[in-house]
Amino acid sequence: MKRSWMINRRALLRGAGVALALPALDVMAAQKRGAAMTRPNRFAVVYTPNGVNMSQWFPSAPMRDELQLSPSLSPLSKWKRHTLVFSGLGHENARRPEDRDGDHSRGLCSYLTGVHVQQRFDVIKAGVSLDQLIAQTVGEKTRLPSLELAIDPNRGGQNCDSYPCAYMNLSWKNSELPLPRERDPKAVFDRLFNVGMDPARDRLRRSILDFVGAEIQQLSGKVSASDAVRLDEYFTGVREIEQRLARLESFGPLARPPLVPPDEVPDEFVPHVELMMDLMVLAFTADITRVASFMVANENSNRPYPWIGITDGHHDMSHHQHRSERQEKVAKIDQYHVSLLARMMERMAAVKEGSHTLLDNSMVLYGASIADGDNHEHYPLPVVLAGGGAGTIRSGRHLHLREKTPLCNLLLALGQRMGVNATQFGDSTGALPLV
Amino acid sequence: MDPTKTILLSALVGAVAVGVPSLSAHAAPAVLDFRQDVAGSLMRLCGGCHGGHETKGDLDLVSHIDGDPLPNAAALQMWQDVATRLKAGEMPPPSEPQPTADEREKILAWVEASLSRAFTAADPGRVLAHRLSKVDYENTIRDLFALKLPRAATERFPDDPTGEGFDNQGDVLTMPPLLVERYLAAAEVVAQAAVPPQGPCSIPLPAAGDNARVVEDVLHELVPRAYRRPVTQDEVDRLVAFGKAALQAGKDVRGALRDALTAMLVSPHFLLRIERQATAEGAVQALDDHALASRLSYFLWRSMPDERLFALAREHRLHDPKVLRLEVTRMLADPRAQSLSQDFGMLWLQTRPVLRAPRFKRQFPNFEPALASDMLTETRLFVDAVVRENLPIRTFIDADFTYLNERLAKHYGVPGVQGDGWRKVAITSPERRGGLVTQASMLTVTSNPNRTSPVKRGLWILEQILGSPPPPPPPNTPQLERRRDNPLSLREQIERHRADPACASCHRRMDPLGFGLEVFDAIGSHRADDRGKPIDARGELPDGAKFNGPAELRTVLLKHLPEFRRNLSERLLTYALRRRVTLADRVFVQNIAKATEADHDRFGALVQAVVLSEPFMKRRAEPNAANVVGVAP
Repeated sequence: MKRSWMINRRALLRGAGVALALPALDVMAAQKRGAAMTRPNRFAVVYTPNGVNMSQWFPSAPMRDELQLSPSLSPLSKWKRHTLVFSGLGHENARRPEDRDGDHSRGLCSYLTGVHVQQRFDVIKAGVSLDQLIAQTVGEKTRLPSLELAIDPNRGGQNCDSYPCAYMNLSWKNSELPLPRERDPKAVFDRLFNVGMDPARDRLRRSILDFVGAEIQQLSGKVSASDAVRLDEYFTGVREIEQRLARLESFGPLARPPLVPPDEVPDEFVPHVELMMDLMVLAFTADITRVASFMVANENSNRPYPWIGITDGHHDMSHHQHRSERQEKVAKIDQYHVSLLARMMERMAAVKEGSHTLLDNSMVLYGASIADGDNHEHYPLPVVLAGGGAGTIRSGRHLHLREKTPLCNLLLALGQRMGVNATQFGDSTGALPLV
Repeated sequence: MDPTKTILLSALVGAVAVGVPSLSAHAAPAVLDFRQDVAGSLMRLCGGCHGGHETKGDLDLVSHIDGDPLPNAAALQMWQDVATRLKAGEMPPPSEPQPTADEREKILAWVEASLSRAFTAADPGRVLAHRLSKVDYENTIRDLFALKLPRAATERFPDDPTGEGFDNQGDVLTMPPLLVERYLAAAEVVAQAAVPPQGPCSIPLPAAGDNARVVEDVLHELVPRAYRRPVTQDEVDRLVAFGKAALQAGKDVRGALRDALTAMLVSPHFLLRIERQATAEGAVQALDDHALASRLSYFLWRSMPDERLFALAREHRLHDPKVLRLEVTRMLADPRAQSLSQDFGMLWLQTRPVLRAPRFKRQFPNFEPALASDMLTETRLFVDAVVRENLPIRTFIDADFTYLNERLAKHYGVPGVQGDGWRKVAITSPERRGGLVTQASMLTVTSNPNRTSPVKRGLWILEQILGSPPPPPPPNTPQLERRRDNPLSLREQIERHRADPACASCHRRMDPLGFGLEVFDAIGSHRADDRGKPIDARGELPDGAKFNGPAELRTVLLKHLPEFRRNLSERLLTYALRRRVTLADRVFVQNIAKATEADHDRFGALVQAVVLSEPFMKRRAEPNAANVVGVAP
């Protein structure tokens, strides 16, 4: 059998036979430690900007429990059994009734943190995001605590939708530290597989990290309290890498999959998204991490989608003004984004984990922080949960929830399933039952 | 408690009856009283919409008019906004009663006087300790080792976060774990590149001596430069230890140096910019000379200080304004000052997105990546010329030259420019180009994929040039969509949109500015018509100023030179201080603008004024932290 593992960039850009081939995933699964015995659960967030076309998103027939896919969700038809669709979720902390702007940034940074972020420029303060809370809980069990991925570079400008641009982030390590997102697939790959791992170098790295830790501690008594915050961040980073190096040793070497992503960041959206999703699947498969967040596009993204016939910008179209041709374009983009989720689910379902699949042992939270992109409301939120949560979720349903059930109730339920020991998150009023 | 607040609140106690030097002799009494002189006009002009039954734009002025006009610091910001809108003619909307000249002047004068009183006590503020940004890091490595940085060293640094539009702001240059990883990997690459025996990048090794001695000698020379200050023996020894350990493990002297350098390059003393302080609380203190040297070099070069700055710092001469002036002049003449156009200019003008601007191939077949990159280069070279030749800042608005290569010249329809090389080209037809607002980079980033956007162009002028952006539109705001079958021209559609009073207040300031540039299409090419319809490039501003086309628009913009000067002062100060400039800095900004104007508005004068300003040379002290870092949670 002849296989070409090296995928050249040109092939990627053509968009044909893209990304990481599935057989590699099985190779990875085989070398995982004890995967057959335990049943690890994984958590991923796939975030999309600008809200959705509401009329095409929610299943129209409110038939209790039974999932009937709406037009926008139709790409999931093959994976219906593994999908939970919610209606009735809202995110009050993304709102600010007395304000008239900033819903994109406020929505994004409150999405996983559950906190309301004040519209001011003199302090940056949100909260720890759910993915990072989970990483704090299960991160030590794997080589990497979490992945934070995105397609678009940071947004610049004097402000980002009436907030400091620092708020244009999904993952927050703590209330003051938004995490940078990686958009270079090769860099992510090298980090996952610790490419160029070298025991002698890692010994030196460890002694250098010791040195840096000591320098930071010595310095911290000599600086002001606000400057010490930075030193503390640095110290935390140093400790995390030390711990990671120690874990790498105890986990032993990890065989690299016999193929690698291209050296350059793809300039085209489709291969880029597919690669990033494949990397998440790969990382979960090899149990390198169990937590990932991924922004399909920046909030406010005005990307056109010419390959599906949308030559107008996404954000422009999301302000549809109830004009049907715009609403249809938004629905088309929504459906396209959902088809990317379907592709990811397909890849996850192809990975066997004992008598289950990776999809059975994962929870992929998919959706947006804005409901209707025209009025910027944050209710009812378009939210889909893919995967079985390691047997903790009864999927294949449409959950009609009481009006404005807090999104945080769902986040809490997901966090608990990942081992977070909490009974409250953000403005939650109780964990959402998912079985 | 935030000291700015203390200053503020103490200034607000008591009645605000203030002298008004700017009023014309016959117009008003010398002292303004809020109740007597201002409250009535405000109620008549603003009270109908902003307070009582409705509070449009979430602004409740009536409660301030009836109650305390200046209850807190937030109220000052609010009055400042009110003054900005009033001054710009944005408010009251044209459909509502308008202020008389006398009313307008009194309100503006009262706000100005209130702000002046609140912010007389000068708080220089402080910048948070922050890591080197990617640009800082690359330049610093280049200058520390005289090394052409290997691309592999920093290509995987995540994008730096931006604050205030710039990539150097202290409050957002955080240190997440991923970055620590990347810095460590970069240190290994750089240290490896720094020690080979040959090549321009090698560290010259002393000819003889035992190996440990060699490592010590090299580090003694290098560490103070890397840490950008005098160092203790102990600090050097801690790094030498790495070298000695390597030698013991059988590595050669270069291997030993490499290990020590790797450690040095991830030391917090190298990677972080921390301005050390004496412990006086609440007091304002001068920066120490080495901290000032770094502020200077990272402002003008985005890199470490050079030998001369270090020497002046060691001799404690850097605080002398005469010395500083000379240094600024010297540094601006250095090639490293290109950083001002590359790093300050491009982010001030927000033109970098031109490289990613989507355009429809069929409509704009020649909008290739190379052309987009040329557009950016033109703007950078143009800004660089203003810096290098110390031109007046009005050049940014109105210039009789630009920089072109053949491709861009063709795009502009300028004959006689051949080859890829860039050259300064005199502008012979003032009707067409000249100044930032007519450059293709700006004209393109402010256009939509398929058409121009006079609104976005106007907004860009208000934001980047005049520094008075309107508030963002409320949600549910109708947006324009141009359809082929729409019988209205773009201009007619925009004008219809403006007929809505909710939109009019801001758009009658924004749109006309953009109309003046309608002779340029969505990629900045000159055009005779818009899809067969003749171009109408006439505009009229709320203050009655009329113009037709880019040349007259420039003349109008030049009348607003004071606003531009203040805006540029504020933007450059933000970049220099690496922190947000707030209302509390208004006196400093005013002084910078004044000093610049007094020195013929030369760009170099502006830079000198920023450097000599209180917040650049001083900082507010803060109590030291207890040694809490690294205590396990």
